[in-house]
Amino acid sequence: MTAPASSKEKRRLALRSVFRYLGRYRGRLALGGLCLVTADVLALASPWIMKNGIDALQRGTTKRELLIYAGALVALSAAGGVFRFLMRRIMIGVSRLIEVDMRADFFAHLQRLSPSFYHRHRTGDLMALATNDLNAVRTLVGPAVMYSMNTVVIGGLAVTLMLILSWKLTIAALAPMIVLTVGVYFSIKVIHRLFESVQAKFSNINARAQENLSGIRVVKSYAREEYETTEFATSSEDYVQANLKLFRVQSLLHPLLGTVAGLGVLAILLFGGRLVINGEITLGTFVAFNGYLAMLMWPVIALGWVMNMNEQGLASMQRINEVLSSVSDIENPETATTAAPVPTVPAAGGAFIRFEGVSFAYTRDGRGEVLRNITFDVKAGESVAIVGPTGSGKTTLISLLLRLHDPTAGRILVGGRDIRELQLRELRALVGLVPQDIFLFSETIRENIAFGVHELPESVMHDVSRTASIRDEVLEFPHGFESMIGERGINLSGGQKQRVAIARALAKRPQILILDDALSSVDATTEEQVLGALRNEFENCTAILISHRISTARQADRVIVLDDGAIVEQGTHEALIAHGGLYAEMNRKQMLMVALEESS
Amino acid sequence: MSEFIQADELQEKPYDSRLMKRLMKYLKPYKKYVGLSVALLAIESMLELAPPFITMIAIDRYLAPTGDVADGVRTAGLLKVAALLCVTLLAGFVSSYVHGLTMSLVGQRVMFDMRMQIFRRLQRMDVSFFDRNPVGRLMTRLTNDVETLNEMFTAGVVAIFLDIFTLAGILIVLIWLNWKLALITFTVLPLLYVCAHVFRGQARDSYRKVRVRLAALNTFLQENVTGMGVVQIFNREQRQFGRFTRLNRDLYGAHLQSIMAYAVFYPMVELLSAVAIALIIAFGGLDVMTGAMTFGSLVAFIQYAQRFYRPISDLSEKYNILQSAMASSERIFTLLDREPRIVDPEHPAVIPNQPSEVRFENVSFAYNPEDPVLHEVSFTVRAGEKVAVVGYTGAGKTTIISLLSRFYDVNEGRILIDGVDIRDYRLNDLRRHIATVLQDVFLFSGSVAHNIHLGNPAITDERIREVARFINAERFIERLPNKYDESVGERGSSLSVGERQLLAFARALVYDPKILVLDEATSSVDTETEFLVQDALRKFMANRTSIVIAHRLSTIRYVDRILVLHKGRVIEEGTHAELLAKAGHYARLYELQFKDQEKTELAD
Repeated sequence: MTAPASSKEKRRLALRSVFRYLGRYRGRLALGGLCLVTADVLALASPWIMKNGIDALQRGTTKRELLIYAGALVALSAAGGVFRFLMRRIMIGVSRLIEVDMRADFFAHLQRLSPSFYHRHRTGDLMALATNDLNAVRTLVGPAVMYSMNTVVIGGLAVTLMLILSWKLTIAALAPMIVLTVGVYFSIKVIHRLFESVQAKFSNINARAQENLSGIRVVKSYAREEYETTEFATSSEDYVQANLKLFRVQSLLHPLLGTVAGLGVLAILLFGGRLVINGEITLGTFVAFNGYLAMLMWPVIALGWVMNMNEQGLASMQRINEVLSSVSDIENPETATTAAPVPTVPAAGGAFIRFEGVSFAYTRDGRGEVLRNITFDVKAGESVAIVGPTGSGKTTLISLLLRLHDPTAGRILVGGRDIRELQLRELRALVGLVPQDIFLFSETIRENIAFGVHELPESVMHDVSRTASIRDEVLEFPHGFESMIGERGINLSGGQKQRVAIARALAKRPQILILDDALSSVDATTEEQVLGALRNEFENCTAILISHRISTARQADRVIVLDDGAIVEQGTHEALIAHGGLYAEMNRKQMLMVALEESS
Repeated sequence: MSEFIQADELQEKPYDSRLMKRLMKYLKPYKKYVGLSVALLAIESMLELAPPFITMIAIDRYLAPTGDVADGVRTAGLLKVAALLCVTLLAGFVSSYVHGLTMSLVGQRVMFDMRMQIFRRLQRMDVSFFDRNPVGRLMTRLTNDVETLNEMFTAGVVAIFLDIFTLAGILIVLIWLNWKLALITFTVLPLLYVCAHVFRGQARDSYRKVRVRLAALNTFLQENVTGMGVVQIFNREQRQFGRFTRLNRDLYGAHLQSIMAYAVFYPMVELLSAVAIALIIAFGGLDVMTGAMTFGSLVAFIQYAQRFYRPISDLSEKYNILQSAMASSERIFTLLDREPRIVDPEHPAVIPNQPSEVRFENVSFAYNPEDPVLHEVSFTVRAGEKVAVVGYTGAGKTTIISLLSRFYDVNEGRILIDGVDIRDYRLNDLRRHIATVLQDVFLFSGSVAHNIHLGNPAITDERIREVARFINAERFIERLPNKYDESVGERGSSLSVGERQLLAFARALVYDPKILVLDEATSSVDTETEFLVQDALRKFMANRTSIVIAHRLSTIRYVDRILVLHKGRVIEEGTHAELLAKAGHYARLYELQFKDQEKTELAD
């Protein structure tokens, strides 16, 4: 997929990220490392004591001397245990802290990314990063770091002691280990590749199932259960196959490690045995060697495991980095000096919002322009309706005003300032949006309405929910405004959700209120009620209404007609009807439809 | 954060023979592999016992005796012993690899079977099940819980066998070597048991906390990722981040408890191991001095004693795996035991392939008993007739549609299609017969074409284009960079609501249903598009029985008959003119609901 050079670069960056996180806790890690070294030194003393014990036994010894050796073993182990406890508590504790940090960084970064990012990335994939991949990195910075340090320390010390005891025997015993390291090195590369494929297949299953379950009504409506099952079986089988490929290599690694360690025992038996027979070493040394080799066995096995974890952790870190390095195409102005002060609302009649030659395309090459050279003003306190055929760019227009996207050409001014010079917070604080697709959080209705404000006085909550014509319905719920919405609470109808969202927008006391087809799921009676109540809000706040209903559009002071990304007409309802353009045409078509109905 | 505690946190028994029995059934198709694996395990554990034993022989026969055996004999003997060890190692390697491979194969196959079983079961469940069970929870069953069981099958259960075999082997060898010393060594066992018991309690407790808090954190994260746009528009980033940080810290606290448990447990086991070795040296050393025991067996004793504690501490670790596997399997089985309430009849009737008559006979329905939605609703839609259902929000219009497709079954009364109770048709036949365009259009993250044919290979590209042209969706599709192959993004996020609805129409039309059901589907399409859609639908409805939940004047004027639904009852029915003339409920509803559209029409 990617060129080898850039994948090497990614790996280097992943390593750097890992070290940056570790670096934050270098003090604690050093302390943990100190405990680790102490614990290992104490552990390595045991075979030495055993060697002396056995040599003493062979020479003939006293009961008292034996008891001293036995007591020393217990004392060493007790002391070693204390340090091993500290080591684990500190080092694994740090890895959990890093996990906390990384998760926070990940979430904080997600919060900065603009909608275009979320369009490219599925929620399921992002969740997989926050769970599986994060866990793989956690294993890398915790157990993997701890065990690799352990391997280095135990390995270094044990080998040194073995060399002191007998260098000939050490070389014989360690030769197989060198073979092992080379073998591990090559299998790791394969494992890395295979693990990535497993992760990808896993997130595939995840996304597929999630979508199926969310759309279960459609699946059932069209009797697609069989097809969906077959498709799921295919993804599932892909996952199984990827796993099996991984296991074919991974299963080899573990027995290989054990066997190579066993070959060390063999070497000791063969060469060490001869040395004992020749009288070059004592039986005690022979036993101590076996002891040290046994101590090396776990670190050597851990080495393979650790390298495994390293590879998996780095692969995951690379994936997480891809998200962390995604740059939002919407940024705050860079420095405080260029950041303009909060725009003030001009006196009624002055232009508050201004689009100046705005064009926009979702693709970077500018092909398929959604908006072309849009210019219009909205005066303070004015209400403007934007109408136009499906796909004419109405919702896009709003997303530009909120800086969910930036225009490819032209500029948008609010209160006389280019919105790109405003802090995003300040811009968005001005606006109360009721989007086309309503998203409410699984919290109480109160918390949802208060979503955009720091505090929501009881009276304001009742006011705005009354304006949105949702108050009475909410009060009929068993827990009123404290009712939980969603999975663990009540299910609101589409119309109820829209009205809660209107209350949420109103609670912000916005300077600019935008309703993007916000009453589409509400019946006409309720719509009239809401719009009637909102008219009071319109008095002091600038409003943009997007609607397909001419009945809604005509309630605005002015109507802007969009077609195929361009403004084709604007004016009052009456003027546009008189003008005889697209708006009048839409109106005429509605009548024609009636005529058609009546003739059939 | 008690509100996040999942209802599906069941009790966590370490071992439940009923569950285990049921789990073992999944191994049945692979019993040959499992048999092979267990046999290899037995061999493996024997082979694991061999090195200390071989070392003992080497010491006692060839290394320890100094004077009485010739060096040549000793060297030759050493070679023989080494050769034996070499064979042991190779055999161990092969059996370990083959067993690892076999078990991972079995684990993967079992996991596959289980995942498919869950998925199939979910596909069969009725809609009310999905109303009660959030997608996130079902996803956990399908992925995490299955994965946990896989771990048990590959690492847990089998390793337990290995540990038990090894343990038993060591026990036997030690007693055989020197039963007195063996018994002295075993005195450490009760202490080890107490230690493991305390650890178990701690581990269980912290494990439960970790699970609950992790679930809460991930639920929060998922929701915030999905609703990120809203968070940003409402400037809520900082406060959401604050909540996230609290959940994140809570999880850390739970992890810390788990770390403490492990950090204490491992050194304790090591200490007890050291005590055992000290006992061996003290007591065994005396035996060696008195000649009651050989050097080799003393060394072997020490080596065995070291190996003795590994399986025990492993067993405790496996306890966790087993514990989570039990919890996971309990949750999975609870799901699998859930029977769908809406199923195919035993002797299904055949739906005639023609426009059908739909009849509701005294249908009553409630989603929950205390809140009835429909009361004794009766009406008939004749074959080929077009009927509009009107009424205020909450009158029960959408419920009628759900009942007709058997998303729910009626509580009382019955629904007939061509004189046959819909419960006597096969579900798939029934639903293929009816096309429903729901208010919320759900699109799958595939291409435009896929969202029309939904994977049905019988639908040709030709047909898709034909339908798209017919429904006037071609205009916007042709404008997409990849046209019919354009990916619509997750849930169709790259399309406008109107475009999504056009796709939903195309999807409904392409399946050529005999009954068409629309639920306010045109409310979000602009006038021009609606004009085109209405035009196409009209042609489409010509030979089909149609039920439309309408908010548009154009629709109610076009249909043959109108049903007025009010608080779950049909209170009026007739043609538009008849109902207006009656000056009843409909006339008022019309006045309120459709008058604006009329005004607009009359405006110029």
